[in-house]
Amino acid sequence: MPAENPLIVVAYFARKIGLLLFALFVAVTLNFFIPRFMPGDPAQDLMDKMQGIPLESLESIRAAFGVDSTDSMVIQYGKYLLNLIKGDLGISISRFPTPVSGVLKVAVPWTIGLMGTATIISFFIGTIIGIGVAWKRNTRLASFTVGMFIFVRSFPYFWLGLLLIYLLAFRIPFFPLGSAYTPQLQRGTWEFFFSVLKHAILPALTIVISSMGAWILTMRNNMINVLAEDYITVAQAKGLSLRRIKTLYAAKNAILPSITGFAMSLGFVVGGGLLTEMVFAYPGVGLMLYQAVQTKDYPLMQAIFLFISVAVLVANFIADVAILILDPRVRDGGK
Amino acid sequence: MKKAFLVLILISLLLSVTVLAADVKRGGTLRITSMKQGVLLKNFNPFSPNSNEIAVGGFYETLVYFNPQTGRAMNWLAESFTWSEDLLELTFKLREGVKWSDGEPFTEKDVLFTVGLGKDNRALDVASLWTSGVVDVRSEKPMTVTFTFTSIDTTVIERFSSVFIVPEHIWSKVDDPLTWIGEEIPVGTGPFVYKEGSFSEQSFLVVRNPNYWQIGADGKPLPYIDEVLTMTTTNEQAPLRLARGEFDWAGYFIANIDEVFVKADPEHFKYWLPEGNLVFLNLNNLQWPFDSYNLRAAIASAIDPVEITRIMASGAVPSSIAGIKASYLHLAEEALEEYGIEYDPDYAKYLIERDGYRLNRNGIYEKGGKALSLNLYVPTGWTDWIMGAEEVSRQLKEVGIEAIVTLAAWPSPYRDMMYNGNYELLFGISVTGTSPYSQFDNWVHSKHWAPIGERAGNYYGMRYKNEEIDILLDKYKQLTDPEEQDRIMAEVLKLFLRDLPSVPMFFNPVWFEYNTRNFVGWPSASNPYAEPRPTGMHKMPIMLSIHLR
Repeated sequence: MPAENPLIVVAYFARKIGLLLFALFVAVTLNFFIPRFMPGDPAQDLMDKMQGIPLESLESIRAAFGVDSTDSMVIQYGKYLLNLIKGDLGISISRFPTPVSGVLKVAVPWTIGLMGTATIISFFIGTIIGIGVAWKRNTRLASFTVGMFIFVRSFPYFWLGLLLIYLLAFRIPFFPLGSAYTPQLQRGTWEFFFSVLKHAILPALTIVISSMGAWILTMRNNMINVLAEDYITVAQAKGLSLRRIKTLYAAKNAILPSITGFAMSLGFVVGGGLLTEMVFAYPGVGLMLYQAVQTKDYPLMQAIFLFISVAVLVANFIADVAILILDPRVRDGGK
Repeated sequence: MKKAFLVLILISLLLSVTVLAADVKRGGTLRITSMKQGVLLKNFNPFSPNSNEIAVGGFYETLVYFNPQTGRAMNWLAESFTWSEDLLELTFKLREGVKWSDGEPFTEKDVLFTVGLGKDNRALDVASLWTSGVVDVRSEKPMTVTFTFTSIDTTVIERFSSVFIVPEHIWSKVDDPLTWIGEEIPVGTGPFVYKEGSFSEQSFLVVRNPNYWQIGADGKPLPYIDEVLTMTTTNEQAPLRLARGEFDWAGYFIANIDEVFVKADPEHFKYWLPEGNLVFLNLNNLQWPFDSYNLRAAIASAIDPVEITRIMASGAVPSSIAGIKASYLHLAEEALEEYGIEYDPDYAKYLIERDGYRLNRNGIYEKGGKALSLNLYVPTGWTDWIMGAEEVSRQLKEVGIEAIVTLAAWPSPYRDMMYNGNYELLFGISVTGTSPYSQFDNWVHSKHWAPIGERAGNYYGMRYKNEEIDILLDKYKQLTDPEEQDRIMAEVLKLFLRDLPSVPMFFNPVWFEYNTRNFVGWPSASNPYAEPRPTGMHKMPIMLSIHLR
């Protein structure tokens, strides 16, 4: 291993942390201003939606939501930053008086459970298939696999989800149509656990099938590039076992770009699979976001967007650190 | 004639009740969809617009229930209500023997306490009693409550249909009534109590209150059903789950409902889509060309709401030219006889020509170089309305009027156009409210009126002003006899149809799908004893009527 220059590593970290902080600040600021420039009045919308409540209630609804604030934009922004530091994300308008954090507490575990697991499964299977099809890239099976996944990848999530529901839950009623578990099951029992599992299979399958193609293609292309490198030829000439060349020489180097992508998508997991969750009525963050947009629930929207931004930024930072460990070129200044 | 009609209604109601008495069977769990899609959060606060629907009506009840299908107030926790001679005082006599679900008696103190909360905090004054004329509330003798008003308005009675009474002995200890969500089990007078520990993000259970004050046809306390299981779903899931029979009662939009839902079990899967808000062709009365009655009447006879709603296939209910719900059409009988307009394209052409227009080379009517070529605005992305607008445009084309369907984003700039009167022709919406009176008071009364370019009081209006109608509507508020009020409304409808300021097309439906595999006794178009909404008090007459088959 080449000599490591501690200064380079420190500078690398400092640059990355600075970038992280700056990006966080921009995200937080945009997050405040963008929803406020959107037209519409949440109280009026609620009235429009709930036909048959007295029109005079508008004022009391406004007062209850606190959207009759007379503060200037700058003061509102200041209050927002202050509250954010205190961890107060505000009160959800569409779920008033539940605070935003209370809404997220319900939705986040479902999303991380479903989306997180599905993303990890998809990454591992996709990467392994990618290695395989690159290694045997001239066989018919490999071409067929790649072609098929390019085709499947172009399906919209919701379309694939609806198709699976129609075939495997509606026509053949083996899987449930949606939601996260059978209503009124006691939490913490085995029955509950298996119900959750059974309800998660179709949505997870939707995500795995439609996102796996990307991992296969990335890994395959990287592998093919790496396989053309001189050190692979050297390794072959030295007579190393093919398995060793495939995993330790080729795959280990080819996986670097995939890691960044994987970290990013783990970050996006927090945002939930909006379409998947809608189609399956899965009580996650994506579904909450959709409803927040529909009801102009700014505090909830802001919190979810903020969560996504922070998660992606942090995941990216972790990917940078991982690369620092995996890739010696970064440590010795890019030689 | 009208008396005879009422007697008929009463007889038929009595009949339906006696029929129920013969074969009432108790028990069962009613499975109903929540209006909250996807995720449920615990909130049983009767003052919150976001509370779970069963909390209002199921736990907490009102003094009266105002039925939007009949326009009449039904006594609930109040045994009766009376107006003073000068109509400035309203006295409720409360029902004796009603108990809170914890066993404490319900008294006038609870009513005074509940109303008092709204006096101190506007956000708790859900019915806006204190901002619309109430100056005082007091109790002169036990079990009575008297409200004093600054001005005469007898229609204020319908406000009390959204004042949900909470027990003083519990709520006086709640720190902030606005943010209470049901940390302790809610204590109410209603037919249901919360089943502890049943709440999750997907469903919750309420069970019958064994000591409820209303008595069923079998002489035992209502409700007939044992439990209500509220479940959440989404627009995407609802049609499939309904077709699978997973709900007894749902309030979800389903496109092509006969094919998707009813066909799965035509014997048991039913729906009734009563009229919600009215969608009308809003013609700007202050501008060419719709400052002329002939042109407005021409539009009315050129369009066919039945065909428009058929093409939309979204459950919209065609409206008569009177623009009021079917259950009130008896009020418009005379008006329709005198001024009614039927679908008749030839008559439309005749009216346009009578105004001096002649067909030009493109087949469009023209006068003085001005062709009847107008933008017809419709909100961007409201797909069923856009389909309706395309059909309106096609029908108008037949009579030589070119209506160019133009999309504008909702709410801005669309709603602003309506507020400021910058349009000739657009799809407008009129909130039908609780009665034809409240519909017309919001829609036609000139207190909301403004000249073009100035912001009107609401966005429903059509730049139309008629002092005679204003006077009649103001007089309506000073009457206590429902029959006299009906006569006033009949007059208003006559004037409205005489001038025909705009053209009613269809009603957005109230979505109501039900399943008779387990339960019977549902309201329907032929027996509209309540409006089938899960919100407010509306659901309660239904939940107290249905029973196992």
